Amino acid sequence: MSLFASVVTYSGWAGTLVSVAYIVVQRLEARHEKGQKEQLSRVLAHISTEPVLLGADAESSRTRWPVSTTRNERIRGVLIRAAAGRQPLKQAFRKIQDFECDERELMEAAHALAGSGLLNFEEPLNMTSVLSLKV
Amino acid sequence: MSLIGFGVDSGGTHTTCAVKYADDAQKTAMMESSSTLADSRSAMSMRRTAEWIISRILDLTQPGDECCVWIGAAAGIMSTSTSAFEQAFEVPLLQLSERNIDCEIFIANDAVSILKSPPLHGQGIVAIVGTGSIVVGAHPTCPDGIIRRSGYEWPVGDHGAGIWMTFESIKMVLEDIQMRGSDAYHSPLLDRLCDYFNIDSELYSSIPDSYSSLARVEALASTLARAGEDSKRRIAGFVHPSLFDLASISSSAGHDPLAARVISGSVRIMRADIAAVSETLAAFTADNPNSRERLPLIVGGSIAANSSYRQQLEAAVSELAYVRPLQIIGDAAQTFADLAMHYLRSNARERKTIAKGFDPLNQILRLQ
Repeated sequence: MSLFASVVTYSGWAGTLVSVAYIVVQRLEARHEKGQKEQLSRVLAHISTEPVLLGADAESSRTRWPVSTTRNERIRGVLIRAAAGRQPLKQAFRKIQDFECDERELMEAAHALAGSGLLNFEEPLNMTSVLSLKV
Repeated sequence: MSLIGFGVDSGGTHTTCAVKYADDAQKTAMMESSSTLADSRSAMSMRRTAEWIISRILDLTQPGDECCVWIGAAAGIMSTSTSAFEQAFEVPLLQLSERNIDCEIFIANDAVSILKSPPLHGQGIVAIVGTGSIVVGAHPTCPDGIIRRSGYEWPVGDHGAGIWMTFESIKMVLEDIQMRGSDAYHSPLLDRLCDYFNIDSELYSSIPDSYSSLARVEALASTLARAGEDSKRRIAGFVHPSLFDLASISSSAGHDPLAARVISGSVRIMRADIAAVSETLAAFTADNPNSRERLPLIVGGSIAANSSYRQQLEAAVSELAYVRPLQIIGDAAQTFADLAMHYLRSNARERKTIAKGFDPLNQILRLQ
């Protein structure tokens, strides 16, 4: 009986110790993870507030400019420049051929930007439609 | 040892230098030279200017001082044009090395330099209306670097600038004579132009009165076409004060409505360029027109500093949707001295950001 009681008591203690150790390990991991997340968010916040292109490396920019933007941003940029100059859509299309964007995708982008309030053009949109900025 | 920031504004016709000390108790100094680093002038003019700038540094610094010189030049600074500046400064820079002065020297386009300077720090719009004209703007959301209008030298661009205003004055007088007839024609603007460009009225004494006005305009046109190396300064020099005097309704020298039309024409052109740059840049900040940023605008140049021009430009720009009330600085040497001091007070990382160009056509050249 006493042996059984001892086993029960010690196994209870052992279980408690294992649980405590598990909780401690979990908390340490959570703290480590939180630290990593905070570091990542600091880096991301820094990148998002820094004018990346203004500070772009002049050496690499001699051969390639703009040096870092997403494909969608570049398509948006090309459409803005075309609209600022009141140019037809085909003019924008010539400038985006480097990044594999077909006419259909460009027209979809133009429609989306018209819907969000950026561009003006006469419907139905085609490659000769003149773009302008909504001001 | 002290920190000293030099700002040099080398425009189309002259160069000014301002000095800013870290200890603000010391008075800011201003100096002026008639030579310039503008790329339309000769290599000799560039060398003279380089020597003048280095002499000012040598005059005002002691061994052990740390100084930064920021030069804003009415010139394009890109990888292909840097050798001309390096050659012009090569010999003068040796004197600095001999005196053991810790000095960093940067050259950039004047409008680009204002864009880099406080308070814009690379975000906003800059217009210059002086001998030449230019409008540039940049924003971190715009991946193309600088958005620019005008500033392509007077035979091609520079519309609205001093040199354009003089040519426009002659063209308007000519159109006026053609419309109203030369007989008994009188224009205070024509008289002033002939005085300024030394068109001798005696030469036309044999020509009947009814033709003399046209003959004088023709003489003006051919004089300007023959103008020599110093032509830019000479032609643009007519605007201030002659054209502004004639445009003023209270002028004792006689008011000429043509002069007022030339000035308002310049304001219209500058407004259109500022509108184009601001609307393009603002479009990058948000799709929805109501969410777009209103951008700060700084206007430099001797013509913009004239009170009459300033009032007209302020009124014209106030109609624009994406521009905040403009700030006129006139000569930019003091602004560049502030930028130089800002550089000296910055840490290594900030210094690197300040010294980087906007795009391949708008670089910042570091000489030393």
